[in-house]
Amino acid sequence: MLESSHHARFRTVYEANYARILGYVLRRTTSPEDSADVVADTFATAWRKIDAMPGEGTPGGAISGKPATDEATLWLYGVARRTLANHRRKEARRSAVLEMLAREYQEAVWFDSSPIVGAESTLAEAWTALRPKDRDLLGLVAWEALTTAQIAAVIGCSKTAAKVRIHRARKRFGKELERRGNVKPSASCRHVQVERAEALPDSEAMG
Amino acid sequence: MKQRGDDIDGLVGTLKPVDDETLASLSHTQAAQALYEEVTTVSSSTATKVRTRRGRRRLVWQGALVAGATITLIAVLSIVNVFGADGPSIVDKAAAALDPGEHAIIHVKILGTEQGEGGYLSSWTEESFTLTSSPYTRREIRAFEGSPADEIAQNSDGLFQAYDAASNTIYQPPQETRFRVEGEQTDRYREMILELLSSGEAVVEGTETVNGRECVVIAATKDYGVAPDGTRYGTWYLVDADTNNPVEWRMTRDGGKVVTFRFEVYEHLPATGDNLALLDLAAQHPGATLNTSLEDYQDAMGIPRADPGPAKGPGH
Repeated sequence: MLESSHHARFRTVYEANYARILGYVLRRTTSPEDSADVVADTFATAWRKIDAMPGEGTPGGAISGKPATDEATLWLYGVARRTLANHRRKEARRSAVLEMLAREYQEAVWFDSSPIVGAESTLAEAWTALRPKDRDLLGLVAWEALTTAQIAAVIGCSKTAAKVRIHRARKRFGKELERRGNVKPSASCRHVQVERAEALPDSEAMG
Repeated sequence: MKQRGDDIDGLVGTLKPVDDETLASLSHTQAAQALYEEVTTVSSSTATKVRTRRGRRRLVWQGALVAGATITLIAVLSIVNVFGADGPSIVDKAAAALDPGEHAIIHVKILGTEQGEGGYLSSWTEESFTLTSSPYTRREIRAFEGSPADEIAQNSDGLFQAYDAASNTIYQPPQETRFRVEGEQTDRYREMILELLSSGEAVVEGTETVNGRECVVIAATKDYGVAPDGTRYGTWYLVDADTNNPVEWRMTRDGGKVVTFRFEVYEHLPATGDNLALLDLAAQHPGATLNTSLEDYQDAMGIPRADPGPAKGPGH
């Protein structure tokens, strides 16, 4: 190989997954500083633990419309998820890179007290009423376009357990919606479903 | 009316906070590249600086000791005249020494070592040539102990080349497949040093001799804490006492990690024809074959090829 194996591997994984992990983090944080911290810590952890990283990174995935089927990608989602859960805003001096990332996110993305901005109020209220774990699960399905088996790998449980948790999260979201008056899926919702149906792989592919 | 699972997912889909086009645009920026560099070069710089209670207590005692030592140090430094009279400070001079000018080439050669927990030790050498004006072409050769050297060239226009010495081949994957960088780029070590010097936390701590060179020690240890055994955490940057050029960079961090960069060369070269050839892989390896196949590049780099995998429908 041309590069030392660690560097070559990390470069591949980083290039293939930066946008995905950034998306996962941006969708679950409410400030550019927090986003920058979590993204940086996620990749720093990945670099430190690269020996434990399974599989290899592959280009494509959610950004290009292809599914994220790679084990390293799922492992990175798991690292990002734990980093997010344990995140505490850095109080010490921030590095120039973190400042640069935060500035960039600030300019590109609208941040508010809630990651959900501009959505229909009933929907947004129902969403906000959910537990963070339910929001995370439903987001992994609808935003990160992961299958049940892939989500099981990310959150570290069996496929059956993931299926049950997702089912319950959907149910709780449905109840929150009912509580606020029913909301019918819009044309745009159907459009999203069609796109996902075309993009998602066989759920059994991940085992 | 109850919502079906797919309906629920569709509704959640409409709440998606950040679209994929925005993410794609954010993945090819200088900040994304800078993060990559920081993580793989000085990942500990992003680590949270944790102070233990014991560390804080030690700081109180050490603060008193440092205050006393500082008074002595100022007297010593006055004798060796490192502060100068009314001129710029050592920190300002060290920063000025890193200014290459608008159209020049930064040539850096370092020996790096990293020590960590459990006796972990890694060492490598790295030599790089970086153009300070667009397209910010950079050629670098990095060799980890026990591994063959990596040699690559890239620029902000999306050019990326990697040289395989075994086959004497230059691989140049299609531009659209590579990690493009927008905006000004500079040498990452220079950037790291300037960040320290402009932080407002860098102070002159004394002098030290490294490989027979008299050096001034610039330190930033505030907020980094102290190990239980009294070892201070922080960053130390040593510059040549005469030229203010980089000599050594040392970082110690919570957890026992120690990273050192010894600057064997740090110089600014004029961007003349001969020197520009230093940025050019083909010029450095005139007999090499140019291979522009993405598949061959991936095979040579050990990068798995993307699996196009037919889409079969939702798996929920």
